[in-house]
Amino acid sequence: MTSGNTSKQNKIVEIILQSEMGYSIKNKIHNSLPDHFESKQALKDKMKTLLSNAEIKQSICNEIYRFNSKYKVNQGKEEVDYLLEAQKKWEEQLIKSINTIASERGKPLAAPMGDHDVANFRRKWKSLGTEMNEDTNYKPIYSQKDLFAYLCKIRNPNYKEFVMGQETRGTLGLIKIPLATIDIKELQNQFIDLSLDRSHIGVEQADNSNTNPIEEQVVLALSAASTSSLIPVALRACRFGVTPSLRCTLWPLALDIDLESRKGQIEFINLEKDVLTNSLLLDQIFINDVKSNSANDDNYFVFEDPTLQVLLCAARDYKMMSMYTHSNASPLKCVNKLIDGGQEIVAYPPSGLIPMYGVSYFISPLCYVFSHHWKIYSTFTAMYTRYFHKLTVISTDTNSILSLSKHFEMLLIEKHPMLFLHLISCGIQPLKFAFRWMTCAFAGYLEAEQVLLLWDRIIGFKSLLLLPIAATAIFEFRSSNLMQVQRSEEAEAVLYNLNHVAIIPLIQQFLFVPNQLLI
Amino acid sequence: MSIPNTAPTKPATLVRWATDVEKSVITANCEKRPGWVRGNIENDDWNFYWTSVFTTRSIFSLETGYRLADDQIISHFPNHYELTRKDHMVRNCKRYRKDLEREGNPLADKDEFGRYVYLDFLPQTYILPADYNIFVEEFRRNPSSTWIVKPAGKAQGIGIFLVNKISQIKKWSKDKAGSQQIPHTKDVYIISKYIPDPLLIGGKKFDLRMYVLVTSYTPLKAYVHTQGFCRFCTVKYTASLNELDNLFVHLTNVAIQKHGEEYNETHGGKWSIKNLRLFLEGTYGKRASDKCFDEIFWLIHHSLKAMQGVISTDRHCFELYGYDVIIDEALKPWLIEVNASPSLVTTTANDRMMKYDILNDMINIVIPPGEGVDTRVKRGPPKVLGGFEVLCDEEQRLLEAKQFERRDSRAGNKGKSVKRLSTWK
Repeated sequence: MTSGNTSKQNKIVEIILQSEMGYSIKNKIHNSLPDHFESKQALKDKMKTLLSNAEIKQSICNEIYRFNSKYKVNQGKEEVDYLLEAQKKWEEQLIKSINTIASERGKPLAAPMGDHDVANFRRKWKSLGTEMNEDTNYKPIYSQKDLFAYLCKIRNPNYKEFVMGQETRGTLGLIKIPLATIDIKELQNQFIDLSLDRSHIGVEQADNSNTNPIEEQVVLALSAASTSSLIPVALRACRFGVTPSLRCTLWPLALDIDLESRKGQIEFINLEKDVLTNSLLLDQIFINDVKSNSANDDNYFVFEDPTLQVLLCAARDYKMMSMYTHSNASPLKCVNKLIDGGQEIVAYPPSGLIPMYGVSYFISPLCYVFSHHWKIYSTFTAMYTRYFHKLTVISTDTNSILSLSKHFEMLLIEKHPMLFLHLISCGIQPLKFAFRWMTCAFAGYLEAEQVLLLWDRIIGFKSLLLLPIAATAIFEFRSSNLMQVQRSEEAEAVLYNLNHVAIIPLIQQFLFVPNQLLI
Repeated sequence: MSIPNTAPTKPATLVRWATDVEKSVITANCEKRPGWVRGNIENDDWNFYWTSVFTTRSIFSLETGYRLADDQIISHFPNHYELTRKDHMVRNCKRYRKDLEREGNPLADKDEFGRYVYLDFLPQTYILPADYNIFVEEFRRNPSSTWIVKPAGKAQGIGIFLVNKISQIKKWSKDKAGSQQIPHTKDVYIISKYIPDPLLIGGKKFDLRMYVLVTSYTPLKAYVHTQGFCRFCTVKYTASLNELDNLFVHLTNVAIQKHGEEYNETHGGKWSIKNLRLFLEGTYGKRASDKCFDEIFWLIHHSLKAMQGVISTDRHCFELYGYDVIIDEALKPWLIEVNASPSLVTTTANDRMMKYDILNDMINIVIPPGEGVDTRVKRGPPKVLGGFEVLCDEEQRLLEAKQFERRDSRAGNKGKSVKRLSTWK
């Protein structure tokens, strides 16, 4: 045995012993050992049988996976000064926005409810969607448009000097700052599992036969993955798409959230209690959001109640603050006027979830996957803190909305320069459309089934880069029509209805089929 | 009138179409077809006539003495009401089950409670006033049950009310003469057991609308469209008795729901079947979801089989039905009623697209693209199904069975053939 191997093994043992599971293994071994062993050999054998136990093997595997992925997480916070500044200024705007609402409405940021209100609210809780009305006096804190306009205004103070004689194609788009992007060739490597020669859920086979042997194979592999209980296996499986009935087991496994124990359920019940006793100024904004977005949508209106309940709970869950540990954004510090006339500075809302208009679209699609509200809740918070939160952050992180926007423009220029030039010359900015799709991860634009198929891949590849890829793929798909438009309204008409779009084949096409149309 | 041969150069007139339902989903569908021109109803100069049930009835009535020509097809069967009037449908289905039972057909097997094992797809239903006494007897056995009363010949939720005390019926039957609510005293009502535990999604009750095309009853040729929708109540469902008067809770008809305060113009309370399936598969599993839809096809199939021999087969007729189905908590579907003239009023953009697609696919089946109308020609199975799926094609099944027998006898195989035939089951 080489020394390298030994040190690796030592490392693994160390990881396991430090983890929560390590304690339980130690306990198991301890409890199962008789007081006296006849020989050292017997002790060793006993240990061996214990460790070969399948369940323990799985846990060890998952533990190692968790340990490894900790290092892969983008550790360093943003280091580019002017982006840090931009993020800070943006947050100041949001605080202002919240304070304006508070003073206009003359309400505190948060306040305990009176007994009468509590009883009243409790009665309404089960059918919150029907009972609560939209109040248009409460404007959203910010909309996609606000963020979009803000991103377009960001400039690199050092950039001017580099324009002359340097590559200037980036300046054609709306994101004016230089950001490293990944080109199609590199994306092909990163997303090799999406290539056309692999079988995928969400891609109809050419022969329209009812029983598809390839799909059956995929389904078999999927159910094997869901019973394996191994995180990496589940992640890999998600890359190929998941059938509707297996999502409820594969997604939690791939996201490494525990939906089996009662812990999550109890936490959710406590949050519900919090909603029922303490009102937040933002509550009405969440209600408005659900009313005018997901509850107003063909695909999701039936889920108005669960969506609203989950959203109100999410506003109060301090655990969601974890999203700020790996991002250069920070929770908003707002001034809460106390009843006794004093003031206190609080992180607001308590969970740090600052709702961009349309935030409810991140919840409703999950109602197709789980029927229990707390499962919807746990999955939503996991996905939001890890991924969707990044859709509101200004940083160089590849998953941030700034970088995704830049990626969209660069990808479109790389593959369809003529289309890009044509649209720009007509005064149509492609990013304007893509931005809307990306900021809600396509929910509300694609059909529910397609949204879930896309989210499968986001979970599987752990990357939001699929959003700009999907957006460019739609532009590619509609390119012959887009080449003929002259005005923004015409482009709007071409891109308005994405109802029958099957997104996965388009993504495959975009990444792996060279452009023949415009050469 | 003869059908001109298709000239290779310029599109000849293939079909003269006509309609007395001036809805854009139908007219736009006809206008865009190459070789289709608008015919004339007054002069009987038409090949394809999309009519209301009233027009069809008057065309087929004895007084007019009108006979359809070989190149004319019309959008209803003359006695469609056997399926589409609630009382007739119930009577026919009950008779069908009795007939099968008498034959000793295993389909009509009953369980220990006397319920049909395979054909229990209608909620317990009685016809009023004819079955009044039987109903009262049944009600006394289950005094706490809720029943729904509907006029047999009305659609869109008109005249429907809920009943949970026998006095409500008595009063109604006593008041019958002279009451303003019921202008025609001879009007027949049906009273059905109200499904107490409907499947709720997001806490709301819904029913299912499926579109079924029948081009022939004997042999049965029927197609189900994949695009249908769920209609949702706008108000949260409660089984409580105080809400019995609030029809918005219980009735899912869009025509009724439209008057509710909560009616939403964007989605109109309509949810696609595709999304329902996605939801059921996700939250109940694939097997349960597939079983539910299989049972829906099963009940459509047998409700149509029950009409064989009752609805006269006419080569000039085809009909598009709107099936209303309610699914209960155990994912068991129940047939509520069948509509002969499914509403072509479109409420939302998606709704219009869906109805346009369904009519387009329907026309492609009854008059294949590029062909004219000739009822003498025996056509094989449709080449273009579009969004339709074959529910049953007895002609094709017979053909395949014959071919199979031949193959079997050649191979010397006397065993039962196990090959799937051209029907869903």
